Amino acid sequence: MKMKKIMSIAALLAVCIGFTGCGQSTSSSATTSAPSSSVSSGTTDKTLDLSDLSNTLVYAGESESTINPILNTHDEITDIIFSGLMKYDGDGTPICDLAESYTYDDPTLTYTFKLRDGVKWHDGTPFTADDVVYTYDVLFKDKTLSASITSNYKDIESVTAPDEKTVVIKLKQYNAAMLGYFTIGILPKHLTEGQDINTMPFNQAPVGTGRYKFVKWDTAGGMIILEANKDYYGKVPNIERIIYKTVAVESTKATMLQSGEADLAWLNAKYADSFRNNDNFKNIDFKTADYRGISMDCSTDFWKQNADSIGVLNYAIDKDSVVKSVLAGRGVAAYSPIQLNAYGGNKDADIYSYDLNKFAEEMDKLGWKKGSDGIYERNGQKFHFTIQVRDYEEERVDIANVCASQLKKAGVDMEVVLVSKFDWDAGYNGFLSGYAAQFDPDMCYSNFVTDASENLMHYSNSKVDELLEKARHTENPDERKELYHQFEKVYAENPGIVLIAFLDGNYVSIKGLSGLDTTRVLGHHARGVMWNIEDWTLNR
Amino acid sequence: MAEINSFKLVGTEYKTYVPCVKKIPFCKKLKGKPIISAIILAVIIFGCVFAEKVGNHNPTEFYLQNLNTAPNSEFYFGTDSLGRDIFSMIWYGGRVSIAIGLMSMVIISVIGITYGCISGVSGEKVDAIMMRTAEIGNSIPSILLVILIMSVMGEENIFKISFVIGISGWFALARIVRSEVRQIRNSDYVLSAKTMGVGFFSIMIFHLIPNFVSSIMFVIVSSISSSIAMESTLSFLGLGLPVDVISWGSMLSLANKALLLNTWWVIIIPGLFLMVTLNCITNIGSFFRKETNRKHSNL
Repeated sequence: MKMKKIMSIAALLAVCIGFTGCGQSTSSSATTSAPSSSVSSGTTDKTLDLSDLSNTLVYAGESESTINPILNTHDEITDIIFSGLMKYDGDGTPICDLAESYTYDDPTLTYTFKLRDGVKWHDGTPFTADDVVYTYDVLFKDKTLSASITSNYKDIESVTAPDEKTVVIKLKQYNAAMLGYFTIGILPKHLTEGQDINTMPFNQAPVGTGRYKFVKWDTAGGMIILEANKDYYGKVPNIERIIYKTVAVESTKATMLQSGEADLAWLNAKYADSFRNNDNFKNIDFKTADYRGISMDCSTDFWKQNADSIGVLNYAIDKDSVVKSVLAGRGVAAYSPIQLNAYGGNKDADIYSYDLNKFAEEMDKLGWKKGSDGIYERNGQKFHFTIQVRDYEEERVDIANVCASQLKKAGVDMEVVLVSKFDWDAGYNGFLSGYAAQFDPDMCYSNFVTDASENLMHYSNSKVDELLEKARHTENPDERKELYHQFEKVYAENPGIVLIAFLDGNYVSIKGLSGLDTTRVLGHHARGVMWNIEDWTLNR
Repeated sequence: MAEINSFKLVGTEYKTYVPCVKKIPFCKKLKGKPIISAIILAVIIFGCVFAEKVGNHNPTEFYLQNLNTAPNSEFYFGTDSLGRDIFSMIWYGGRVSIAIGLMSMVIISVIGITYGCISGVSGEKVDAIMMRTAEIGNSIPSILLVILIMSVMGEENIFKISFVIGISGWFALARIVRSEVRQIRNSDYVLSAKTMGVGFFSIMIFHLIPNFVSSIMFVIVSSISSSIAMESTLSFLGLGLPVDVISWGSMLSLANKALLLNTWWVIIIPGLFLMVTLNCITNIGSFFRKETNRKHSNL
């Protein structure tokens, strides 16, 4: 009886092994036969053959809903599909891209761009100066446009095209950061004119002039397929195809890398650490200008009444231990939104240190008294506010939770609400934010100036407005630096964001991917890693 | 000889005679009963009830100096990636998980028994409609139903989640109750109570329930464990309790992270507690089932 049982189990096992053996052999034969079929079908074939991945980079990126250089400012993908008049080089200096050359005439405040010859849109239509004029018109004239960057273009007086290859941009006044803002991707006039930029179908099937062209958006499979643009005016990328998987959840990205479903991903510091000392993977650690902070919505009732009590919270948060724990030491405590910028980093703005006694003292000065439950109260109002955090951004959730527990100990009740999508109308008192000014320090203008385009939290401080306004219109770098240092100090005294930390940009790739260049300082969401993607090579 | 001793002539004193009952030794009484399960379950429940005394750390505190520490003498079950003490979390979390299990069980029992009794004593048509309704409800996968109701309810807390699990889990119980009631509804005592004008709920409580309680005991007990498991599933999927409420399920939802960080204790320990508890409850439940089955075979 027993013998029979053992025999049957053995037989079962043998069958199983046999099946898996078959499975392996069939799959390997499929992969070997695939290249021949893809060669014969060529790239004209619309039904994509995804079985040959030998020169295809699978990138686990953020989740996407639109691909449009004007609307998306956080994403890698617009940078490689579209190109602008200028682009940033590795050091973050603007250099010519679609423009072949440019001149700037100081007395008339006029930029004159000579465009490249023979540039074609991905659909084959020639690229002309009209497209440039059209794009800039959208940016500074279209009133229905809900984009976060429009404040950067408000110094433009006019954009004209005297001939097909020339664009003349006239400014109202000198703007030190303008050349950098000319890096914005150009939209094709012939495909988007007359449509609502915010909702047009083009946003899901973009056509650009960049290094990669859009092929297909597989919404069911959660991936966007891009192909190298063979007609690109610069160096055509080595990697033939990019599959951009739209995953938002950090742990999913890490699992995908581990299981070989993705070749490159930006991971939070902890997950990135789990790939260190693993010969099959490479850790590529960029520096970023990306900070995390608790942004208070100054338009909500609570902060309208208690705006004086935002800065004091800095005393109650042990930022260094947040960096050490949540960020696994890969970051630095933050005191200024432009602290890592060449123009920022004024040590005099670092006016808060972690000190609970000092916190209690300052709260006392502001008139807060501790209630019976250990939470501060003033004018019959408890020091209780809510912040929203997207549940899939684990690092932000962790930062929020740790800060909430530290604040609670100090007597402040910060309620962390997890949402799957930011809801700006639900009345939350703030959110766990992240921004970056990786190039010109003026990139923070739209965040902090009253009613500027990215000032979501309605921060308003006349002194800050004045300094940032003046700094963008100042030519002398030393004077600018001085102004930004003043801004840092003024902001620190009356902040709208409790700044927590700057993070590193920890990318992890498979061993066979090379060419990533860490000289570039990355932006928010570690954006910009693909700045030299044409030089990358993939060797599986 | 022994047999002779079991008989005794008592003569005229037969009315007052009390036969000496042979004392069954305590250990023999326990034979066949799920003692080990009961003891383990008692220990776990005791630990959860006295979580403040048992836990040696604050379960919501982040011990940022002790991240991802393996089990040691200070943190008995180790800490997770943000330095929370697993040992303390287990007891506080168990409190929530078990409370949800019990509350859901009560809801399931109340709805299931009432519905089953009404259906059982009703006429053919009403009975058919009621039972088909319950069967339709039963045929929908309960996880789907729970997620659906949860999304309508909005923000979750312990009571809401128990309520949702309860109202989506009573169908099976109602069917069993109804078939039991069908068998006894025409018994003389039920008829006589009815003719004397006793109300439905009194009949249900005094006549119906005592007669089928033993046969539904198993379902009721196992509904505790299925409710705990359901809560864990929901919290694991991120649909259950908010993050700041610790339960075994929400602890397990950290497992994905822990898997990547190679911190086995974050996954194994809550999982083990959950498994052991569920097993003990099921064991006790199946004891009740065996008991009722034996009674029937006695007939």
